[in-house]
Order: sequence, then C-alpha cells, then structure tokens
Amino acid sequence: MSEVPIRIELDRSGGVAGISLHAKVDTTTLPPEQGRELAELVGRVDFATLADQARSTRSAPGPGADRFHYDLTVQHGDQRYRVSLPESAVPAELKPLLSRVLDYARGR
Amino acid sequence: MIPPRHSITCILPPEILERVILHGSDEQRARALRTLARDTTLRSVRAQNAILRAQGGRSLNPHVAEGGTPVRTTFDCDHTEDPARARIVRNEGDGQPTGDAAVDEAYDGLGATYQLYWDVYERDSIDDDGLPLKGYVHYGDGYDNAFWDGQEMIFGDGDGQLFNRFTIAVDIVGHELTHGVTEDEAQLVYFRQSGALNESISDVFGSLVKQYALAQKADEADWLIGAGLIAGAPQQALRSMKAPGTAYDHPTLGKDRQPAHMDDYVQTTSDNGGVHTNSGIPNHAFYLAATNLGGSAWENAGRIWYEALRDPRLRPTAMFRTFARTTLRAAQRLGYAASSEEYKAVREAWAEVGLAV
Repeated sequence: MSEVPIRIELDRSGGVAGISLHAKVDTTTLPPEQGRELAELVGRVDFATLADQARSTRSAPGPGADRFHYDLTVQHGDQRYRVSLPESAVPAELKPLLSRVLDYARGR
Repeated sequence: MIPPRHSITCILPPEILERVILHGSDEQRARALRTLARDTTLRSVRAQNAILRAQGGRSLNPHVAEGGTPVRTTFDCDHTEDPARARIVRNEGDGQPTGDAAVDEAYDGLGATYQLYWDVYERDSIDDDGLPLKGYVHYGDGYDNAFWDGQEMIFGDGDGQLFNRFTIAVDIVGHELTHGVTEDEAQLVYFRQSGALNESISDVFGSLVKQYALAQKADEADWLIGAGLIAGAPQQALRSMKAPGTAYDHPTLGKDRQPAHMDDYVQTTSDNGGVHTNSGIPNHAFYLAATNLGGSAWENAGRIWYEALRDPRLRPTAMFRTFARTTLRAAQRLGYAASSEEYKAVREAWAEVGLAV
C-alpha cells in the first residue's frame, strides 16, 4: 500500500506567554510508523468542511484572554487545506493531531 | 478622641466627619469620606422607606456592600479540557493545604489577587461586587498555558519540557484575574493597541499582586512577569517591564522580542495584532513612573493606573496615546496637579517610551 505524502505546517501563537511554536513535518522524511501515525490523525478530521467553516469566521479572536491561536496547513497528496482557528473553536477530533505536531515543534 | 464605631449601628454626626475631612491625616480623611458616602446611602434609603411605608409599599433593603472577604473555589479538571466536569478540591476557608501544588498555589494566588484589589483599591473582587473566584487546575494534558475564559481562571500543568505548571507564578494569577477587571471596567478590545493595553494592564496589576504579597518597594521588585515558568530556566521569565526584550532567550522558544518604545512597535497579524508583544511599551511606562516615584508601586503609579482604568471616558478601542492622556487625567482627579511630582513622573514615563502627551 503506497502512503499518500502529507506535509503539515503548524503555527501556535498567543497564550499568556505570547510565545509562538512552529512545526513543519513531512511524512516522506519520517520513519514509516510516525508517518502512519500522522496519516491516521489527519484522517480523523474532515478538513474540507473545517477549512470552509474556519474561512467563514476568519481568524476572529475567541472569547476570554490569553488563549492560543492555531494556523494549520495540511497538504494531503494534491489536496491543500488551510485552517485558522482560535483555541476555543478547535473541534475535538483535531486536538490529537495538533498535540502530536506540536511535539515536533518541541523537538520530540 | 471619639472611639471608632461601626457607622451602621452608631452613626457619627456629619459635623464630626467633616472636621476629620478638613483636618485629619490622609487615611483618616479617606475613611471619613467613605463613611459619609455610606451614611448618605442609608439615610436616603431610610427616607425612601418612610415614604413607601406611608404609601403602604414594601421597604427597600439598603445594599451597602461590606466586602472584604474572597469566595474562592479551586477545581481539578483531572487532565480533561472540560471544566464543567471538574471536581471541587478546595473551598474558601479550607485553611489546610491539600498537598497538590497546583491546587494550593491557585487558591493562594486567587487570595493574593483579591487582597491587593480590596486592601489597596477597595475593590470587592473582579466585579467590585464580591464575584466568587474560581480556579481550574490540571486542565488538559501537558497544557502549557493559563487563561481567563470570561468567568473563571484555567491553569495547565505545562508540558514539563518547555514550561512548568502555570500556577507557579502568582503574577500570572493576578494577570488572568485582571482581565476580568478590565472586562468589567474598560472592555478594552483584545486586538492591536487596545489589546496590548489590555495585556499591559494585566501585567501591571499582576506584578502589583506579586509586589504586594512580597511587601516589595518599587526598587526591590524584579518587574518580571512569569518568572520561573520556563522549564530549566528559573532566571528567565515571560516578560520584563523593566527591560522589555530581555526576559527570555531559549533554543526552542526563541528570544523575547518585546519593544520598549513606540519606534519599535511590532506590526503583526499574529497574536491578535501582537497584544502580548506591544504590551512591552505601556508596561515600561508603568515601570518608569513607579520607580521614578519610589515607595510602593501599588500606592502611587498603581493608584493612578487603576483610576485611569475606571475612567468612563476610556473607550474600548483606546490607543496607547489615549490611555496616556487618561492616566494624566486620573492623576489630576487624585489631586496631583500638573505641577506635582506625580503628574510629571507619569508624563515623563510616557514620553520616554515615545508617547509625548
């Protein structure tokens, strides 16, 4: 089974620290099991719908203060999705992917 | 010398209060003015009740908020991101620490914040009406943040690699709760300059919470925000009000890029227009005013900034320059004429960060 190459770019900004984390991952440069893990996490999210929804709300600040903001780009084969979301609007099924990609930002 | 009595049960005649106002010390005058204000409320309520009784109506209950006691609850989210399901782990009056550092630090931090606002500014909690203070700890899994959600404070445990637990710094607790105060008073929009002002006010009063808790004078404070939060770097902090741009320098987190002057204002679309970055400018202005005036920062510059925050003419979209003018107006309202040291210190502070008003 040939794997579809996936490239992910994630920027997390805001938070009380106001310190951004950036991550860039490319499954073609990762060990196969990490690539599969990312593919599985990407597969849990309906990016087409999410990108549409996020576009309609733009990147308006969510409620409260000191929350994070996520700018995510996922290139899945020849499909490219861009999502810009305040933390409060992140759907549950997207959280594991964000968490895993942030680990790469932390150097894990 | 007339012994002090509670004004509700035994009201001093106004003539005596007026003598104190004319001839007393600052503290005595402040107390007398407050008593007079309270008495006036009670007298007018009594007069109103008398009229209502004569008409056969119900009485009014005089609402004279006493205040002075926080109502704190700490909740444990058990590593979920669902505060609605969190368990209560410490209630107001539970004097015994639980042994869970996050719980106890949150509880103490909520108390320290309450105390600054009540003792110094006579503000009864965030809404000045005794709003219960709720802190939610162990939010999420390795969640490296703390935030105000509009009603309560949420704390993560940090990822342990880049960040420690967020309850570790009392100024962060003060910072978050102050977002509630700003929402109650000025509603500064969390975007661009007004957002950076909002952030700065949280840093200012967060720092004052810490300084008050440690009984530090302005020149004894470190003026750092979130010192000890960065894992493995106890000397580093999230921000420095004394020297913006020097708080942290870290292989993964990068370097603190806060400006200290309008010339270096950061234009960005990130972080709601850089609200956590450009806050360095008004932060530094506060630091300059406070250290110029000396003494306890919460007394002089803090009082002026608090008064400015409460100015009804301060709009939600206020820019830095507008706020600077508001602080000068606040200084005058507090009795510091344009020729006073206090007024000049505030004006010079703003000028030094590139905002001549």
